[in-house]
Amino acid sequence: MDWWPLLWSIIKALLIVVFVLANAFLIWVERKIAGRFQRRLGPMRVGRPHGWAQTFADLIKLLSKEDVVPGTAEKWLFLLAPIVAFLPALLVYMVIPFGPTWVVNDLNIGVIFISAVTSFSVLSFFMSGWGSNNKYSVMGAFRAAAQLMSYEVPLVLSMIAVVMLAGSLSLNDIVKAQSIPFVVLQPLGFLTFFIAAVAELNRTPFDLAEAESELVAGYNTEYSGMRWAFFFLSEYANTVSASAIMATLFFGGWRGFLLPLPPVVWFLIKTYIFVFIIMWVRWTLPRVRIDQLLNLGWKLLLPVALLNIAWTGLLGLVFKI
Amino acid sequence: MSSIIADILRSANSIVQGHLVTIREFFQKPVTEQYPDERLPRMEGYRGHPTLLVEPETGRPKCTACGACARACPNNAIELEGMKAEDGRRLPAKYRLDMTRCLVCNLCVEACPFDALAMSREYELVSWDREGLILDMPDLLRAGAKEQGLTYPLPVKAPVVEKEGEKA
Repeated sequence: MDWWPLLWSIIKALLIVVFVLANAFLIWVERKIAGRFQRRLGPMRVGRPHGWAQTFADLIKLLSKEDVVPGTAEKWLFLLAPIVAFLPALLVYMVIPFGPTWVVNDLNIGVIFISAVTSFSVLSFFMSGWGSNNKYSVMGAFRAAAQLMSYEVPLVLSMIAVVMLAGSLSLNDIVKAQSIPFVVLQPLGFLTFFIAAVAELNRTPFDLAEAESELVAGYNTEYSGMRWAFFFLSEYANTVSASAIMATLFFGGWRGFLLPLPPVVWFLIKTYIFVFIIMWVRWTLPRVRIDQLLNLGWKLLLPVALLNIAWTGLLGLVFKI
Repeated sequence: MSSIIADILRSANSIVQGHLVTIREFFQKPVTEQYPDERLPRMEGYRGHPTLLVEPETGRPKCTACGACARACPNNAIELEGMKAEDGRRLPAKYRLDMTRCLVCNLCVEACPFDALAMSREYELVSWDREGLILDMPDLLRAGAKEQGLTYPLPVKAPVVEKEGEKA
């Protein structure tokens, strides 16, 4: 029996896990960036220069904390929720092409796989919210459910337009089809996708599920130590994966221009530019209200996404793209 | 319909404006002062706690223990006792400043007829306990010498206590 393919998939899976965990450094990056936006320095004390070891300090602190399970909590839901939160972040990387051949498994239904996998993050929110048996948690979970389900629609619709242009559901084929980045052909689609993706990530200005000024910490109120850290890490891993999807679908993924850099470098540059933009948005805009959030989703993004599909169809008809 | 579109465009514009503001701040120099490593220059006329000045020639305090500062102090923060030195000059034997009561009003300095007191430029007046905030004569002389650009102790002649009756 040939063991090589099995071994190779295990190596690739491990590489993906390492990549996702390496994104924990974004904890430090975000705090530095947040500081600069407010003309502060951010963490400076743990590790010189510029407090680079802050992430390690945070993680060691969280690891050493007690794992508290509230007495009235639904034990299994409570314990499993952080792991479920982390899973979609990991699974998405399975189909994302880091380079022409650097893809774990180039599924021919990649786009459907992504929308299927990312949409079960709502499960983890609801599991943690319901399992905590805490009114703030369950409020956060209700909000998360309403928000994630309504933003799933424009998100998927704007992905459909991309699929129409590329003529394939495989992400690698979509990248190969982008001799012109799709953002040029459908800027509205990109904007819809970006807004819906930020909402799906539960980041400010759409962080109603956490809403620390109203709901203590929303769905993760009762979590502490490493279980809380899993929510935290999955937020960053999801940020990176959403950025990677944006780079892949709208900005030509690993395709470079001008500079002859390796494809994987191009891919990472584009991805982290989006990570920066998402942080930039976070430190600029205040949180929206729940009614504003749902109005934006259903009354603005959904029509715009449909308009974008019509526009894409027109492009296909007129220019035979 | 047109009002809805105008509304959307207006909000889109305000969002863009907001992002321009934040990105401009992003590239500015941070205003943070890394306190123990770097310190801001103190303001002209900054006033710290009162200190005792020293005579540069002898290294003794300029103070003659007349008690004018203690009388001028509105909070009774100053407590002092006098004594006579070998050469007959009066010196403070004990001088305590209670910084838990001092309000840094400068009245003691104004009251001093010998210009023996001055306000320091010190701002790090922290202590682990209340006792640490009660400054004794050596502390005040050290701070005063620092204000004069000297380092205390200078070659000090130890003040000798003489009882009034034992004088020749």
